[in-house]
Order: sequence, then structure tokens, then C-alpha cells
Amino acid sequence: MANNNHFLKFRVENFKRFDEFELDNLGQFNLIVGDNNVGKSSVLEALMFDREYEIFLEYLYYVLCNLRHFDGLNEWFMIQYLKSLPKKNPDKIKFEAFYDDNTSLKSSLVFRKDGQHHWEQKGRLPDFPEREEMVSARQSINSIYEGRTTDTPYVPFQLGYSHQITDFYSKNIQSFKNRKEQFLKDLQTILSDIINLEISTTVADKPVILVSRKSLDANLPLGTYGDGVIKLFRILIEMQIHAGKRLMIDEIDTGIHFSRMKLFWKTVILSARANDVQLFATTHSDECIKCFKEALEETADDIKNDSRIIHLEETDPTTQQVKAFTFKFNEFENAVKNGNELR
Amino acid sequence: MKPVMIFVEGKTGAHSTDSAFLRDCIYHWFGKKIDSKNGFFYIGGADELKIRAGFFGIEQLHSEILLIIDADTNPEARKKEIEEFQSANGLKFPYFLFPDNIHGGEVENLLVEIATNKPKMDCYVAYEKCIDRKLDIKDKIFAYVRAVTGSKESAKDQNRGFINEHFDLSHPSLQPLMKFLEPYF
Repeated sequence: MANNNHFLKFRVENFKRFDEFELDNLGQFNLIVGDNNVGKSSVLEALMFDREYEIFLEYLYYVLCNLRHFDGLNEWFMIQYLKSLPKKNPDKIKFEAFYDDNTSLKSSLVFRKDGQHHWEQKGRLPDFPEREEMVSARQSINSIYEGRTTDTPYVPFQLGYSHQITDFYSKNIQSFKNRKEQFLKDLQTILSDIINLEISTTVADKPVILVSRKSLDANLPLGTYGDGVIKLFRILIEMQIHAGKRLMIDEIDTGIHFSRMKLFWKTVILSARANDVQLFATTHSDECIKCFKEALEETADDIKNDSRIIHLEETDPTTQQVKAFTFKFNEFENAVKNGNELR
Repeated sequence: MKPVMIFVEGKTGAHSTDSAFLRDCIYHWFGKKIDSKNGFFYIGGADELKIRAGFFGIEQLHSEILLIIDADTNPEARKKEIEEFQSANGLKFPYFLFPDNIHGGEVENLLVEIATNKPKMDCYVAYEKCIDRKLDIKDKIFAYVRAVTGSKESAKDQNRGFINEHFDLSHPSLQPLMKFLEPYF
């Protein structure tokens, strides 16, 4: 991978539960594991970091709304939310990203008492000019209203996958010829004889996606494929939307049948590879970790070498310090095989 | 060879009498351990087959499907239903209807047959007589397991086991099921 959207290393200071937190030696396929409440989801949120401040804020806010089932936006709520982000020092959150084209970027979100905040940025190369901007909460909200929130590179685990899948597909895949071709290719890992997908308005009282396959005359609605396939379908749509960028998936294994977890992983990994997506997923299930490893074993060496398991561990319970330990494929392969706990 | 995947009635995530019984039979007869998490798919009730057509289609690509469900009152109608479901959806898989692929009934009919402690099983018949009402056969099995084990917990669906002195897995009434499963294990 050589794409200035992918991270090799990432640091954050004073964000949510972290005083200082660093992810090093990242790969393209990163599975983040660790006990409950160790901060896996917060890491995913921080990883949404974008060099465009408004976009990053929009992402953070989208995730908040999704977690709290909150769908209105107002200035007061926005300010409260921003104030809740820093851990100790209420004035400043720092982000530092090292990209895979060897550029890096330091950004700080600086809060002021009047609700205004600065966004300071220092880059190492010309395409990240130094800048300092002052933005008000109201401006941020406006940019979110105008922004396309469906593009947030974060799939929260509570997301009801079957809900509005037809709309989501139609908006993001159906209307793009290239995306659709690649999307069908990605689906072939699990459904080798798939030919086409169509949206039908006649088989039910609302539009449904029909799956057309070589071995079958009748086209069956996607709904008959079960919740696991619908979840996978949703993730593969996200891969198309975020091609060339990063995608964060919380609790990736939720709703996937144990016996199909390996195939699920293989489909996700191959799709991420084909679409140049840097993947960060979390799980707290050993079964999921095992299947991640087994799926990788069925892929080419360059894919294996680009995979990581990142173990988060609370090193000091009094200060809630959390440290990340990154394992490459050859390091985690044996650990998982021998049943050593990485989780 | 593709791995065997048995589709049974029941809810995802919860072990049903059907899957626990099949798991134990397969172990007892063929010495093969099927993990009740990995070896079974739960399709809900038999009437939910249709809404899972696509799912069967995917499974057919990756595993050897067996469908084992209750015949209920009309085995011929159920067979027709399954065969129509197969031909409408380009599916082909062997199926078996409890108790013996011929008669009406359900898995519990087999359990009554193979129960070793007849007097305790008959208690329930006496009870039905006493209250002058026919009760669900599922309750009968529950009462039997509770009576012979003395434990409410082990009588619950998800905890039930059949490799013990209370059931005879070598009973002749299990022959049709055994013959059906034999080629796959």
C-alpha cells in the first residue's frame, strides 16, 4: 500500500479515556482486540481523524448521534460534546498521523471558553501547509448539515443492517458503474455464481434488492439470505464508498454465524485489498480472532504480511493508562493456534 | 469433501432438543463430534423455510446440507412443501422428517420410544388421565427428564443430553434416522 490516506503510525493525546495513546507498525488489515471497556471504540473514533477539520468533526458527531440514538443537532449539544472529548487538560487534544507515503501531520484541537475552537495544523510536506483556523460550534454544525454523513468511515455495531439497505445500496453502488462491477466481484468470494443485483419495486410493498445467480432462474430477495449476509453486504458497500481510504468497523463479528466467520473474514479482507481500504475492526471474541487468522492463511503472502492484531491492555488501572501491542501475522499465527490469549 | 451442515428447527444461538439429540446420536453411532454451535443452522419453524431460500443457496456452495425437521401431522404435505421449495430455488439436499421419514410426529415421539424408564414415562399418561386432558408431548419429555435426573436445570431444552442411562440410543426405532445419517459421517 502506498496511499497517503493510510496510517503507518498514529498518536493521540488527551482524547476521551487516553492521556497518550499510540498505534505503531500498522498494516492494512488491523484487528483491534482487548477486554471490554479498554477503549476499543474510542480508538476507532480517533482513527477517523481527517486532515480536514470539519470532516473529522462531522465524523465524530455522526458516531455520537448513532451511539446515543440522537438525530437532532443543536449548538448547545455540540459544545457539550466537544467539551467532553478531552480527558484531563480541557484546552487541547493532539493528533499526530504518519502516513504511508512518509508524510506526517500534527493537528491540535484547541478549545476556548467562549465556545470557539482553534484547529492548528503542522505538516512535514508542502501538501499539508501550516494553518490555524478558528471555528465556532455553529459553523461546525452548519458544515455537518451540509455534509454527507453517510460517508462516515465508521460502522457502529448497533447499526441495524437490514434497515434501509436497499436505499443505501441504491445511493452508493447502483448509480456507479465501476463500483457496481467491483462490488459484484467482491461478493463472489462468498457467492461464486452471482451475476447481478437489481432493485425491484414489484415483489414487495417497498423496493427490495434481488440477487441473480447462474444456478437459479428465479431472482431471490436479499432478505432471504439472512442477517449475516446482509451485514456483509453493508460492509462491502462501505468498502466501495471508502476505496483508497480508511474504514473502521466496531464489533465486526456481531451477527455472523460461527461456522461462516472464516468465509466472512476472507470476503472482507479480499474486498479491502481490492479497494485499497485500510481496515480497523474490533472484536472481543476469540472465535473471531481465530477465524481472522484462518482466513488470512488462505490468502497470498503479501496480504498476510499486511495484517496485524493490535492488543489493547490497561497497564495502570489507577490512571487507566492503555497501551497497544501490535503483532504481525507470523507473531500472532502461533499464539492463536496454541490458544494463547491475545484478546 | 464439503463439511456437513444440518439445518434444524429452533432459534439461532439457543440449543434445541433437535440439535442436542442429533449431536448425541451422531457421536454415539459414528464417533463424530459435532459442535452444536458450528454444525447446525437454526431455521426457526418449518414454515420459515421460504424466507431463507437465499441462505440455503449460499450454504449449498460451501457445505453439504441436510435438513431434519418434524413431520408434524401431515408428512406428505411437508414433503411436498420441501420439494417445491427445492425446485423453486435451485436447491438439492437430502431431508429427514422426525420421527421416521414416514409417519407424522416429531422428535419427541422418538424420545418417548427410547426412554428407558417406562414407569416414569407412564406417570405422565396417568396424569393426563387424571386431569382428563391431553398435554403437549414436549412437556412430557420435560417431566420425564426432570423425574429421572431430579434436576430442573438438566430438563431444560438447552441443557439436555441423551448419552446416559435414561435414553437408549441403540433403540430400533432410531434405525431410519441412523440409515439416513450414515452416508455423511
